[in-house]
Amino acid sequence: MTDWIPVSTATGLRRGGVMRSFVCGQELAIWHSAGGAVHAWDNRCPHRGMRLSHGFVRGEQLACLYHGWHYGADGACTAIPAHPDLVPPASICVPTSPCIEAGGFVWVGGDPAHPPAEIPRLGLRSLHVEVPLATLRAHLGGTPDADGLVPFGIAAAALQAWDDRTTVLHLATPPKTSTTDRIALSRAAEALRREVEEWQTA
Amino acid sequence: MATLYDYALSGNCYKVRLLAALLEVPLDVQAVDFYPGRAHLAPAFLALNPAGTLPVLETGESVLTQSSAILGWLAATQDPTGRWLPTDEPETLARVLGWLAFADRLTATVGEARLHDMLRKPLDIDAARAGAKQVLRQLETALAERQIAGQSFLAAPHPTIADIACFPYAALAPDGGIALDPYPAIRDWIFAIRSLPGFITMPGIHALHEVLDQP
Ligand SMILES: N[C@@H](CCC(=O)N[C@@H](CS)C(=O)NCC(=O)O)C(=O)O
Ligand code: FES
Repeated sequence: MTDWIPVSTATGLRRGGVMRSFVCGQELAIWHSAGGAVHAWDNRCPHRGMRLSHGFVRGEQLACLYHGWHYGADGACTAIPAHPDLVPPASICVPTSPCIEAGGFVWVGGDPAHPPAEIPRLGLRSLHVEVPLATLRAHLGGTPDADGLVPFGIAAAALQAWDDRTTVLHLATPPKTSTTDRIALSRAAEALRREVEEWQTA
Repeated sequence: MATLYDYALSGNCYKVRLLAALLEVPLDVQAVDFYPGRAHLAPAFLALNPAGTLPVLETGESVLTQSSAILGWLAATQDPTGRWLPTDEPETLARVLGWLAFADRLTATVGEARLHDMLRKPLDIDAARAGAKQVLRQLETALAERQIAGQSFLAAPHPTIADIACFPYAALAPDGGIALDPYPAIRDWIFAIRSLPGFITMPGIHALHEVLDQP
């Protein structure tokens, strides 16, 4: 088993986009730089604690929405707009987690020396399912591969525990799957969600 | 110039201001003190619109109510390209009309949760949020399928009044205590609309910082 936790499909977070996620109870800002690098940072600006997921990407930097402090790829503060001449001290730094794109998904928190398998896949969509991860895994069935992926039809399913009650179902298909088949898979995932949520409340 | 009776915090009024801005149509905007003044229920306003709802558009020839109807009038009279309300493509037109009806469900759920949280409107907030979840899931599913088909907008390869009608209350959901984390396709669509040339903001809906000049 791997320590990498899926947080998005590879296409689910556009370049220049930033979003919030939860990994093992920790709140993260996941962002995708203009050049295509993905990052996972503590979702808290070192200045006044604003959520960095409300911020905005400028090239290879993430800027905080509140007072515009900029942070580079390593999490270190690079610019403070209110003090343009100041070189920010190295102590101002956002804690970062390993983050990588592989096999059609974005992953967080594993050992960079052992990335998930590079199997070509195309992101389909991510659905929040309001059941615990173990419940959804049991409903999906199948044997997890080395990266924890299970088959969902011809798609691969990656599961993320958002919190104790909610699981994110990330889906990716083989690259050449037709649009018709991809839409059918999306609808099958909706049906599965309805079924497992009803099953839980029944 | 048409006169818009407007409330700055109303998502339904913003729809009209937003489409007018995108079409570069100037409006004479008259502020109505909806909260706390309840001016929309005062005799002067009820004489204009007996239903007591905002927005209202006075075109010079008639008095229009209901945001979707006003969007339709603006598109039909002020958009020479015919793209915002494609009447010559029946399939697209039908899709647009479907989304205009859907927009009222967003107002009735997400919009109500927001009125509860922002203006302390008394209502069953759990029911409003549960309804909002169902409606937002439907929007997410539709937009995810559009993305799978390589499309960014609801009803056509370009934005239509369907997008303008559904956009505000989806984007304002956090004001009603409804997080948008579960809806990645809605997030991308909100970005696409905020990227449109001429886009304007309202409280709770910001401009894109990415495209602003470095300070
Ligand atoms: N379906 C109408 C709804 C308009 C509406 O409900 N407007 C609110 C303000 S956002 C209103 O005027 N409410 C009057 C009231 O609640 O008394 C539209 O889209 O224009
Ligand atoms: S809180 Fe982030 S820059 Fe001030």
